[in-house]
Amino acid sequence: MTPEEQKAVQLLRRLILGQDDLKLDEIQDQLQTLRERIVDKEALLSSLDPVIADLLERKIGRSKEDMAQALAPVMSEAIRKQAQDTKEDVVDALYPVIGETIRKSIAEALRDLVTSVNVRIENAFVRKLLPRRLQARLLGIPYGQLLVKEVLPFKIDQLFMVHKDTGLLIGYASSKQSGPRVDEQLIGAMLTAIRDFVAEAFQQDSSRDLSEIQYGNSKIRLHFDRFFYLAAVVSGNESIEFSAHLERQARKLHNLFYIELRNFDGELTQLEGVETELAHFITTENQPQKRRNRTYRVKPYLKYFALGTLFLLVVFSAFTCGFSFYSDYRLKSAVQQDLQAQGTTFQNVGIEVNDGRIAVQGSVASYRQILKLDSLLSRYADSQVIDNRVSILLLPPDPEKVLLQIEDKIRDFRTKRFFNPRFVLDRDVLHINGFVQSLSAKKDLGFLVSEIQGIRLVHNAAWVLNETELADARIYLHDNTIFFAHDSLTVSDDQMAKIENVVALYQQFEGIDLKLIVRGFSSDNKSFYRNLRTSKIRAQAVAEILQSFHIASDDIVVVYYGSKYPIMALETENWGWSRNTRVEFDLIEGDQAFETAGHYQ
Amino acid sequence: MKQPVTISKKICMLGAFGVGKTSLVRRFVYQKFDEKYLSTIGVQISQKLMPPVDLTGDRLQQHNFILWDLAHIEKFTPVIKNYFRGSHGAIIVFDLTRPEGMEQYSVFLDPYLQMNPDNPLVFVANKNDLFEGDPSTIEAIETLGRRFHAPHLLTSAKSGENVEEIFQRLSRQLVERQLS
Repeated sequence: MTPEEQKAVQLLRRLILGQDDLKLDEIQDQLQTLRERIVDKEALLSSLDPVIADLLERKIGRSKEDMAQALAPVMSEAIRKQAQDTKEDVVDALYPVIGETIRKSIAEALRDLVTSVNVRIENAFVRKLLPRRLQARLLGIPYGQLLVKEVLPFKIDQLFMVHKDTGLLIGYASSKQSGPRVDEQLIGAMLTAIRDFVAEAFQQDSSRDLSEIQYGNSKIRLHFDRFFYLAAVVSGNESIEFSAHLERQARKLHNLFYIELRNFDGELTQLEGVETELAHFITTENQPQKRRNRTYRVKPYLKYFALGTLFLLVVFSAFTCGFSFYSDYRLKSAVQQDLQAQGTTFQNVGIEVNDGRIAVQGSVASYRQILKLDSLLSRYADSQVIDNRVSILLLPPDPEKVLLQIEDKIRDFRTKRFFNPRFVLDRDVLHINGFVQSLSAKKDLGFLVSEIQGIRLVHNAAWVLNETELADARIYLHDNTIFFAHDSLTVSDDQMAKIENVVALYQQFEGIDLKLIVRGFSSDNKSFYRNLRTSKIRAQAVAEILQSFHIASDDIVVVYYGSKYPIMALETENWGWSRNTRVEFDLIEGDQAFETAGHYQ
Repeated sequence: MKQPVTISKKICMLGAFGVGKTSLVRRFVYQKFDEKYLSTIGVQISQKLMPPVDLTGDRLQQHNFILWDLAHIEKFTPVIKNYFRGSHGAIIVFDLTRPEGMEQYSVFLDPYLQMNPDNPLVFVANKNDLFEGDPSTIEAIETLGRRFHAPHLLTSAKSGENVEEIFQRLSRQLVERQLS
């Protein structure tokens, strides 16, 4: 295109599009202005604010629910993010609002409480003043507290029994019959961890355990026993006595399951009754509240009913007292008869019976008699309470009387063949010596004589010796009789083995107070005195040999009889003489031996 | 069918920070309580019911493990010692990728054994998925097991390797002690 042609086109363009170009520039300027407004948020907001506000107002006015539904997810996320990023700012911003709200809420709750209490006080003054005050007196709590209890009822929601050391749950009960179960095992462990943490963090000693955890309107009351602790989740106004009740329940559980708790290793089969006990405790503690919530209205006819009941009570009491008096009288007679049947043993014991309760007082001679009295009274123990206040009275003993009483008491024992005890009274101490046939006989003997008045101490040194054993020994000794040749005064060699037998036997009784009797005899072929003398010499000869075998001379008792007790009545030179010239052996108790020791019997 | 007798046992998880105790418990328990009961008092408690074990042919027994996962145990405090009280067994966890931590076991194990001298133990070397197989590390964990007459296991909380086995071993030891 030539320059001339280009100029012509330009001219033509200006003529055709000149107006449009001006408009285009104007539009571009306006677009620039608009872009600047959008980029500048402040400017945009100031422009849109009246429009959007108006639009939102109209939209919200038309369908509030739709708007809320549409905005909820966006708003929630925005608020959550904002709250997470700038927690402190949010708190600062909300504090005045929330603080005010809480103050308002508390003020309203307190106002409701005061109103409620006022209404009840008003009602109480108008209609129920006396019953309420009486009830408060009976319960032992202030009148105001009773009213507050009714307004804020106390309730145990849950009760945990947790093993103290391991934190394992032993039992759980809830006041709710149904509903989702909390994971009580984990809660038990966490409570234990909290308790351990508090104990160590605040340097508490073991006697100052954590007693309460407060959260919201509820709190956890804790009571610690030796093996476990109870954690009660409670709400409402707690009574003063609740702590005592919780402690009593803990003690009851301790007593019921002591062995199982002591050996607890995580197995609950032995502790199955625990949850029943816990549930029962919740029921019992929650029940009185219901009872207190009842309204008390004294109807007029109730007064007549109360008077009638009172009259019946008086009649019944009179009848009961009469019956009780008669029962006491009969019981006293029966007990008195029982005591009198024991002779003089309980002559200083008095009896009183009152309301079926037997009380005895006075004195007896020994502790043994007190036991006997207890045994007698125990016949009535099933239905009666026994109060034994009998004391032991020790009087100076009269020896003759004591020995007579001993003989009287052991008469039955005396009939037994192998029973020969002897008694020595040294002031108020009785020594028992001699033989009895068994250990039980020795014990019985000691018990019997200890009942005798005046004996303070019994020294029971009676020998327990088997009758058969002693009898066999005596026969054996008899079989070892030493025989002498005619006119011989010495023991021949062939007889020495017998002496050794005697020594061996005697040594078997070492430690027992037995004497070895050596009895000398002679034949009747000389004068009386010569016979006596030869029997003495023979007995002494044997005794000397026995001493050479280390038998103490004190344990040997030599007796001689001359020709008094011949074995063979008809003596001949060859046979009878040698049978009668002999030395016999025997055993005898130590004390008897002294009495019989001597020369000629 | 015989009903098993459930016996609860308190088990302590011991190990330094970051060895994976909590991960092991989470892997083993995987139930809703693992996060919910995270505590600020230094212990997280979880529970897991083990499968029943036939004891003598006529009695089934089942352990309910209450797991006390103790935090910050490397800074041993008297509070932590209190948590050891009444324990029936312990799992001692080490990190295979940080073998130097194994030397510090006595910080928490000594006080634990002082309070519970006869309790069964299981030594666990965790993070086996990251472990490159250094023989000296394996030997160290074996030595510990021998010293305390306790089993040892290489585990991974990430893959789940041997996690169940830890608690099975502990349960078995408790049963053996009961029968002996």
